[in-house]
Amino acid sequence: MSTINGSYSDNTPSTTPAGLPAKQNVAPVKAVDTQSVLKRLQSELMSLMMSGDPGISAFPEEDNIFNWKGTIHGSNETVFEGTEYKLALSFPADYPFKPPKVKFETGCFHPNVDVFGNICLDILQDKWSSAYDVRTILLSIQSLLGEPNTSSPLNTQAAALWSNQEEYRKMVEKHYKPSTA
Amino acid sequence: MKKIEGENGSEEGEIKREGGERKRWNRKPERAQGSLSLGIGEARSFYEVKHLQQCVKDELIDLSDNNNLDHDYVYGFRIETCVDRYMEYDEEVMMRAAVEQSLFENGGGRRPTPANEAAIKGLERLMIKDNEDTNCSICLEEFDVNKEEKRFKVTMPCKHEFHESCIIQWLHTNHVCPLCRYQLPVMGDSKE
Ligand SMILES: [Zn+2]
Ligand SMILES: [Zn+2]
Repeated sequence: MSTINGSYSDNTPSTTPAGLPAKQNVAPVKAVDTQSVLKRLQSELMSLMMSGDPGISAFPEEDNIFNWKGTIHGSNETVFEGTEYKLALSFPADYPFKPPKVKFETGCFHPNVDVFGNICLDILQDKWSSAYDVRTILLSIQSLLGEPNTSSPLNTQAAALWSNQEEYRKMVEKHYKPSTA
Repeated sequence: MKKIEGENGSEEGEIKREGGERKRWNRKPERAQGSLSLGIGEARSFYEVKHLQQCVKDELIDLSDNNNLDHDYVYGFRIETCVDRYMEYDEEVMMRAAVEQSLFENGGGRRPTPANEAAIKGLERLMIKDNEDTNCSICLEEFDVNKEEKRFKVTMPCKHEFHESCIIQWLHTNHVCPLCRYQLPVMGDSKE
């Protein structure tokens, strides 16, 4: 649960005793610190640009660093080979303690993606870790494409068709609408 | 507290069951009664509707933990939302969905369990004496003697190290180590 009560900054008067205060060592639940979220996002952007991972990329929208657009390429030797999917990522004010919301913006025929672009992926929900970042998210989604979880699908038709890769490929192409906007 | 209300009053919030007429959303006229349409023409299975309903319930549980919302009302509202995802949608639905999505910050599914306070208090804590070149993998910043927030280092039982303020905020959300998923005791564990 997030509460936005303004932010504390590095200018907070220092009240820490010189020694190690043994008793009062549990910090109170902090108000959301926008500055530190910005810092973290900037640092992610830097390392993402440096890493040069093939097949994934992401960049903040012009006016809002809390909203990013990402791209993943379907991996070779999967039915998604040759495709390029656009994703929208939106970061909460208490990122990275809560995961970003991630959606497909390109139509994606996949057992774990619904027609609205919502993704069912555990690391974006209850298995989220504050040590994950945009890069790990995009790589996870990229591998999810080729290795769907067909046991609890959002798109049952895709799940049922998965075993027939040839037919599946046709559906991938049918639903694939590269963004023109 | 968040309040959920359809903009045209309760009519929109009602649960519409099999074959119920719905006026506000575009739907395929040829749609079979008793099934949900995918918007691209396929009927949804009973299983999938069940899955949607489970999503709704999970989200509801999250919500009601926080907000004392009226269950029946919210429940109806969300069923409607989930079902709409499977229908041909227009701009209005898109906008409505955007608004609704912002109401459900936890993304559905189960919520993680925080660590218990005794376990958090018991963690090894240290004020660093010299700047260290290592980064905290939560905020991605270094351990820094000159910054109040960055000079205290907590070492988890698995030996992973984080800024105190970072790891404590995380453990108040989830009891596992962000790097290796080592589990601290949760609230209600006998160690408390
Ligand atoms: Zn940190
Ligand atoms: Zn660990």
